[in-house]
Amino acid sequence: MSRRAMGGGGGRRFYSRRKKPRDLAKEGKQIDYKDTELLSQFITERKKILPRRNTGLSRQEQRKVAIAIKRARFMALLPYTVTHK
Amino acid sequence: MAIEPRKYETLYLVRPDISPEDLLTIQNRVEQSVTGNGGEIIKSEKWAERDLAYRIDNYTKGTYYIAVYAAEPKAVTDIERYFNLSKNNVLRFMTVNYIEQEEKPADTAMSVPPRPSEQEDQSAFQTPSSASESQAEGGDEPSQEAAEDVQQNDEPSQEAAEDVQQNDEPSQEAAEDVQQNDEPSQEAAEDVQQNDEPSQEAAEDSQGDERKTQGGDQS
Repeated sequence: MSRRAMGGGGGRRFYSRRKKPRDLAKEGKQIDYKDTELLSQFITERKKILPRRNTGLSRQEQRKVAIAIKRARFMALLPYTVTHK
Repeated sequence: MAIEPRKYETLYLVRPDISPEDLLTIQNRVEQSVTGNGGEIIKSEKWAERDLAYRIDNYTKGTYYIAVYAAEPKAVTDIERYFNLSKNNVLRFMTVNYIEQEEKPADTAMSVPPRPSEQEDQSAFQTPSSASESQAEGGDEPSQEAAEDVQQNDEPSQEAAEDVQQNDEPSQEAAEDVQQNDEPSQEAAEDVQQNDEPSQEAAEDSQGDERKTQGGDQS
């Protein structure tokens, strides 16, 4: 998406912005630190954990996701940052 | 009622160039720690071989092994002490409480083995199966859940449609730009047609200019 398209879109400033609430339990998904494909939906380009206002998760699920991401980071399944190496 | 021992899941990361003998001793040691403390091994297998997210001891790859077992906490400390002693081979390890994959049907169907986490990705396949399992319990709930899922799936598609509309606008602008650019290009074409006769002179001049510039570059 070019800069111009973002300006013309009118207010969609962040790629990860989510307005709709999301319920992983209803989607039949367990939050597991080994499931990097699922967890990578909740981190930014720079591998920071997204805040709840952007993930649209409930308080309980956001907490589980955050813990799972931190566990995955320790096991080198997910990076802490884009700059280390 | 006897208290059931807790279930634990230990994931450990082994360096990629480990010898098969060392790997076998590690796996045997894990299993011995569990059975030696009166526990029971549920699963002990290779989980994945993958690139590490960051370098550990200069290794960029590693092999993950997973062990699921029901045992006393003593077994966990025993395994982790062993991992700490064999730091050359075991790069990382983590023990968490093992969670059954599907909580509600687990009460009725304890004999069903837990699903591997790899299947979680295929939510489309899993939702019908979970619905059928909960139908065995009896109730209209699964169908309602399915309907809700469908509604949820509709909403993102609307978003996608909005996105498409938003994307249309700049593309129209781009199209207008192209049209605007077309006009000057026609003018330019006319200019070229008008300037056909002098253009030959200009071409000759430009050739001369090129020679001059080449000479300038050489000097």
